Amino acid sequence: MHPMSWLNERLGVGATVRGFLDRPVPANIGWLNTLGSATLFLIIVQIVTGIALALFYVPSADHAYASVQNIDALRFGALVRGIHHWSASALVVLIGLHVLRVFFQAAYKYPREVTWVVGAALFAVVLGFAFTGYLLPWDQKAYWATVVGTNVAGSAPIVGSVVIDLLRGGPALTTESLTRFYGIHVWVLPAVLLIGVAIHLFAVIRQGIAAAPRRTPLVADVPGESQRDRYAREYAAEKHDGHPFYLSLLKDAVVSAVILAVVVALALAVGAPLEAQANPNAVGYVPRPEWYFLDMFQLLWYVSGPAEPLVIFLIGSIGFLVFLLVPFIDRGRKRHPRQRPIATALGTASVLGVLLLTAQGAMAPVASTDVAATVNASTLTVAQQAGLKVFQVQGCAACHRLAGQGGTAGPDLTSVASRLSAAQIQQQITSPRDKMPPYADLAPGDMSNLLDFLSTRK
Amino acid sequence: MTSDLVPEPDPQHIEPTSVDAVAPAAGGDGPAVAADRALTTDDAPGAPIVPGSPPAPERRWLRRTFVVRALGGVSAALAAVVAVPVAGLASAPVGGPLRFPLTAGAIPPTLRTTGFTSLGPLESFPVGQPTLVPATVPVTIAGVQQDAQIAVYVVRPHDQSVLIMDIHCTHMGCPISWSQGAKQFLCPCHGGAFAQDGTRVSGPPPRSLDRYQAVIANQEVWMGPLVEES
Repeated sequence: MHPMSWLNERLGVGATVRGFLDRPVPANIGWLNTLGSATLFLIIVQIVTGIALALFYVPSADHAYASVQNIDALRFGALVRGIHHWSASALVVLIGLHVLRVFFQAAYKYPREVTWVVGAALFAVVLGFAFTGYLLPWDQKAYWATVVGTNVAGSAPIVGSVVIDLLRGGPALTTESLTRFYGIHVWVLPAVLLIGVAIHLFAVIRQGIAAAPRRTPLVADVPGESQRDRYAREYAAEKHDGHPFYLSLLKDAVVSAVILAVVVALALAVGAPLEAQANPNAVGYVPRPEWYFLDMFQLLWYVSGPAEPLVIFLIGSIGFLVFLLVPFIDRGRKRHPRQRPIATALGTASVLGVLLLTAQGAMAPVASTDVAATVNASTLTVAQQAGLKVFQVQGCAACHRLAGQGGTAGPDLTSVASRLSAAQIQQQITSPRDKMPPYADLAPGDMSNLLDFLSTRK
Repeated sequence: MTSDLVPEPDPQHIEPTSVDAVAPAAGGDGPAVAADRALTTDDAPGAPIVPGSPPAPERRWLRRTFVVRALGGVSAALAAVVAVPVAGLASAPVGGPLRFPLTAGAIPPTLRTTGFTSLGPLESFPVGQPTLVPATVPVTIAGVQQDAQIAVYVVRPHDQSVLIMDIHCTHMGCPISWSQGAKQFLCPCHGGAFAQDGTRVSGPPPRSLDRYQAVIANQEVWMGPLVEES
């Protein structure tokens, strides 16, 4: 007897599997519909590589860093950690693209509202994985990004200090925080993720894959017909003209294969970064979040003042609520993006906003405030060179950009002399009218040299 | 309503095919409804669950509802017995009061130390130039007394006065560093700046730098608990 027949005689799942593979799906689903399966594929990659890493990782501030170094030294260790690292980034990208596909095609509409809500919650879970996993290597980048990240969460009104204590397992980021992040990363979030994915996939199979929206529907309107009946008729027509599901799986496989190839290539060529061991005393270290949190980090530049925690909290919580409840906000029947101008415009604006903030965050200078290296000193007089030195010593570059180096808290001074006269610049330095600190104590010689130098910046 | 006038096939009454049984479209709750009815009348084939003559369908329905609800209550009780201690343990580190003003702003101080720790002889801290000092201080976390590695800036504005400053910017906790040229503590993250005595000068930080109690005794600088703002 054939082994599969033997198994099927006992399990009886053959008909179910065949029904699953043969079921008709709308003909117009295409490459964009592979994003969800690619997300699922990356989740599986993360679980498998994560389990392998957990065999060697030690969640203790004393040993975590050394155990990660050890993993990198083991056979395939650096590769597995590299795949886990790059696949995490890929997962954030893929789940984001998947959300965008569903949003712009309005595939969350009846009868797929629950699919969307669970999927939106899964998006938050994936970000939770990214946030908690980031601390585990216990290197400088991990430590300080988490200091800032937990502080952002902890600046929430009223509950902030409780949130900090819950996240860090105490007021400071210590070994208690590491065990807590580890426990959340490998036990709590995976449990939530698996339950969520199960519900999400069940809903996808139960309701079938949404057809791509058509400007002209396949079926004609029937007066007085309910939305429910109309949908059933339309979806039946889509499936009538459809093709079997297993043909779609071919595209899914191609996309997953390409993504895995990219992830493995990055793991081999770049690997997972590991900076120096976390040092809570590292003055001068410039914390940077991982790229998918850069937009929030950058947002902190633009919101400040006594209401900052409230504003950040409101933007975050209202934003997420709106995201979660999209199917109950956009209730119209039309699904084509051009027939939903408001939803499409708001979605596009949100995407552009996130991209813009991320790009600005990414381009914000790190510790490179070495202006002297980029200014062509040979064209400067002795006094101007002394002024450049004053600029450097006084730490102006911490806030001001000049010749492509320096901070972005204050205005770019690359061509300041074309905007302001020397007297105006001096006025601004000694008694600023905005948030810049006054430098009234500057020695007169230093001041004149500095003005002399800045006057050459046209 | 109009469905009487326009004879469209009602999806609720379409016979489920083998494909639809796996993935029915909307309105595919037909089989589920049918299954539910089958259970409510309890005329499913097979051996009777209860020996003897079966009770009337109505009584069966009542009995099943009662049992299912009782099971729900029992499950909730079981869950609570496990969940209460688990949630209690997980939240053991939570301490300190809720901060009620909506705009109180910013992060709580990073570390609440207990007792006094010597940071070194007074003469090792030059007047007018803050010095970064790594220190091991006793702290209490989740009720457990332990040592924590922290760093502080020791500032001597004058000969006989000493300030001990936390190195974390009060905005989002990035490590500040002293700029001797600017005579300020500068934060690399969002441009916060603090004067030598820790007062906020500019940028987004909502308050001055956090300070620890500082005592000069036996010509040594001793670091005490965090100075709590009133």
